[in-house]
Amino acid sequence: MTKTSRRVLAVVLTVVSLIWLIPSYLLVVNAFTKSADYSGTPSWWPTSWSLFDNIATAFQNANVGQGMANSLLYSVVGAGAAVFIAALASFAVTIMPVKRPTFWFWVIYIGTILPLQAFLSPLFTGYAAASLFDTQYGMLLVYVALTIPFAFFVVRGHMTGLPNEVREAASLDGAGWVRMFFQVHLPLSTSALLAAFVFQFTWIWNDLLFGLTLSSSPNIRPVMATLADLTGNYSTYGPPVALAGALVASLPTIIVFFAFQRFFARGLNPTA
Amino acid sequence: MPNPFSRGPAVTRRTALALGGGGLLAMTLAACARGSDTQPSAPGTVTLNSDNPTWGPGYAAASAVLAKRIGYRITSRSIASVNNYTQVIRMTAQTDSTTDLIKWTNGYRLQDIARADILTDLDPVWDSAVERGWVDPAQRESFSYRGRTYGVPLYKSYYAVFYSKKAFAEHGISVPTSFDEMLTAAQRLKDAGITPFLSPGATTWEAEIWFMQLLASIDPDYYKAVTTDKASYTDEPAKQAMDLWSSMYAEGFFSAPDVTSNDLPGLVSKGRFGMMLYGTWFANTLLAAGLTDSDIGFFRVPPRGPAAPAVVVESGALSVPVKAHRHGAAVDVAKNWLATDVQTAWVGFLGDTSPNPHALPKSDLVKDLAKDIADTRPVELTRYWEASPTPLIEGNVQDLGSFMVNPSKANGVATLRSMQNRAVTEWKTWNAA
Amino acid sequence: MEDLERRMTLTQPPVPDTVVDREARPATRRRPTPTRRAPLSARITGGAFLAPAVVLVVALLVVPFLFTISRSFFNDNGFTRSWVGIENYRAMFADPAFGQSVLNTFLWVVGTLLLPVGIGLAIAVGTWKLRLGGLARFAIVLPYAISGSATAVVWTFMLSTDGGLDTLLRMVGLDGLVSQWLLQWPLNTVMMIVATTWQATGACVILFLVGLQSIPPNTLEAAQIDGASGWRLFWSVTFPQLRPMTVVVVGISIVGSLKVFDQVLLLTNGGPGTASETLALTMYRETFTLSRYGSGAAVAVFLTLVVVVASWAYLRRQLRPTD
Repeated sequence: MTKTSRRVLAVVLTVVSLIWLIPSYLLVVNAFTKSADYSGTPSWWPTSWSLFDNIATAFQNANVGQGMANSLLYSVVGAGAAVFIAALASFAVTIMPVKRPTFWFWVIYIGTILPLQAFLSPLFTGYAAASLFDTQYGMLLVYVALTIPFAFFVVRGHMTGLPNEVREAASLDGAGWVRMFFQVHLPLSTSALLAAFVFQFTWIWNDLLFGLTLSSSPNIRPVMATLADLTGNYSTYGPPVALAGALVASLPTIIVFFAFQRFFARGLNPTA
Repeated sequence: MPNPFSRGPAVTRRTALALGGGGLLAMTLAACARGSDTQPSAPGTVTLNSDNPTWGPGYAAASAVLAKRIGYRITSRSIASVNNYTQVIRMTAQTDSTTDLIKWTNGYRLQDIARADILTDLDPVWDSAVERGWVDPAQRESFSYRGRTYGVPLYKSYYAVFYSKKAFAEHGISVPTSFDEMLTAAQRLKDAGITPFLSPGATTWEAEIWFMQLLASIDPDYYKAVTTDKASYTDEPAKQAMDLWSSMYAEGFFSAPDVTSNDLPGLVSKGRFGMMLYGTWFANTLLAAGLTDSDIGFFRVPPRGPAAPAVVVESGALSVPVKAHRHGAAVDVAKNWLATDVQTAWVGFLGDTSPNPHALPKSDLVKDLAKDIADTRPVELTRYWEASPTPLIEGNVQDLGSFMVNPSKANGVATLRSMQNRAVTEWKTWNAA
Repeated sequence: MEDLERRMTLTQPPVPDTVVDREARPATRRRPTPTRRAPLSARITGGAFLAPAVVLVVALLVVPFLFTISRSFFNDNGFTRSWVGIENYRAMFADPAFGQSVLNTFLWVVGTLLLPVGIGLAIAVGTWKLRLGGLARFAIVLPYAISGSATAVVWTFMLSTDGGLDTLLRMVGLDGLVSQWLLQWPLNTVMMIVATTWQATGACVILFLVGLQSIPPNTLEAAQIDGASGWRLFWSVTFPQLRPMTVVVVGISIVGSLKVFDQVLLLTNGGPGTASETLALTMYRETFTLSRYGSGAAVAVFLTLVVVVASWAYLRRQLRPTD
């Protein structure tokens, strides 16, 4: 890459990054505003230092702390289980001698296709009938089921890209399928598995619809459903408090993203 | 070719087993956690489901009094999204997992679920409340379906204009006693650089507020007729209302339609608030934001021309599902809900007026309005949101929202025509069911 | 770990072969050498591997959806229902608001395929080996990690009348461009697509990065030695190598944009009126607001059919050999 084109690229990237950061900047700045001062137009500079007041209000009035603890359980266990189950299924569909692999692919992939609202109502009725409503087990179950299809799509996409010779060599070696899975394919697909985990962790963490409908007690509700108390129709707190709460609630996903980023950005190492 | 099975950092069986075992343990522990809210409620309490989480302290205050009267308290739970709440109630009220009490709306929305025979007939409760003067008997009709009542008023709010006392004082505006005076006040505020009316509603239910108020000021009887399918939306009074609304927009009296009511406290503190027509239940938000009687006042919108004074009322319902676990206790609570001491505790928190005319709110914000209404005794109209069958209202309010974005006179006529077309279809559907 | 990968990639041919061959000759692909254990036990193990995913998805997602399909043939208000056959579908197609809905959904698909996918690919490839890339990636991936409710509040700030964008335009003197961004159709749909791009590009960037690092480095080196660089390097070497991941990203984007719901609900609620509704929103309005479960179910079935057909049309082509 020539020097000028590299410079042009750097300038373009800087401009794009700055534009991209504007809304995030607004979010942070307005979370600092005192709630009673918010009058409808967003401020571009921090007008007061009420961030911690706003956070305290959010936590006290909407049980955001407990919501975060619940969401942590759902996201970690749910995404982890989903990714593992999806890896098993991807392995079966791409490597193992399963009859009609395309059919099974579609059976699982259809999970991403269904519009969520379409089965919310029957799911709710079913949950109420099976006494799964407002239980942690029920929430986990639905989150795992909802996140398997996407994870499956990503991991399968990656596994189809794996070289064939791996499988041939493995089968020659006399290894069983289970051993092959755990010792060859799982380690080789780490980047895809981690990408899928991070995405599904974020998805479950940010879910609002199911949290709102399938749970109602403070010890079951995930964090976005608790935040909805602050932004709902009858909220008596203005946007600054809602933003402060949302900012704090976004921290775990931000941390997870950037902690795992090094697995995606390994290509940065020029000699790899 | 190198052996692909180098042992190094591959996932060993042990690690996999450990992870799997750990996962299973976590899931089992999680399975033991059941929601604290949906477990059978403690003795001496009845459960209440609502869509407004901010009223929790109000229920607690009322419960303290209820406990002394009948030995029962209310534990409330809420689902913050109005649409989700409606669906959950529709699904659960027919099953055993319903709460003992539910918060609902009155009018046609109440009739919609009362038709399905899932609510308890509360005629005895009404009879006793009317007898003791705890409630205005005129309200009974809006809680009835086919002659039987299915809920008691949970709260009672009026639609009135919130105005900034400071702005009025600074610009020499006195509280309007006629419709034209209100328009003059708006003009004065506009000349002073303050947006006269904060008017949200481009995409929400709030689009109906000015429509229903203008009709109430022009011809309250027509409003009653058109919402019960005895008049057409293309009749003269509605046309007048839309024309008036259009001209008020043309004069620049309204804000952009995508503001939110929550902007009000901030605007007050910046001295840029004029007036807003809204429900008095909003006083709760103002109190929470620290506003007081010296900041905000209320006035009822005066009638225009020779019309009789009228005011729009919003009154939610407290209903008892037939399948409530603690059915008897729930009916008991409904019976005592309107008692003066319970209501005093309730509106003490809400800061709003009470369905019980003897219970006065502690906060001053609504006192003057309450007094004015008690003196003038205006015609009380049901809020548009529940004044007709739900699908008709939802569609019409969307049309009104579009009008607010583009409030020309021609658009006003087109909006009325669209509303009338929808009314014809929807009334047919409602009457057929 | 890295050792293993490097050794693997040094001796393996580029990826597309496997993708190409996979579906065409399953029989010879699948069967390992005859000295392997009996196919039956392998098939059972295969079934065991597949079972958890299939059982969970079918029980919790597919079965409720089948209920929805059956519901679409009734006139159902939650309490009573009566059979109406295909009346719900007929009414749905006759409704002018439905046509508007379909148009909006189509706009979303086009917009989402052009913007988040396009920009995501550009950023991933452009910043892959750049030191400055870290900052750009941070700025672009950050929105994806922020919660939906915060995003909705911020974009409402930005796009409401006299909100952030209008103030910004006035500051730089572009007063003429000030509009009511969310209140006029089709402007509001375009702005909502921009808001979604802000958030979704990060996900595309990450997925493309994952794809990029599975490209064997010596393929790139060989091409560079041959004299390819910049655009040509990208077009003839990098992009084809990225094909499996591009399939994933485009597939997900098609599905996501056809089902778009949250952003439209939170920013315009389908308004003004029903002008900016998408199919998912129409379904939501019929089901949750009007309590017309039959009509809502009909829209849901239609939407699902569209998504299935679109996904199948796209994936089928990608999973077949094209050369």
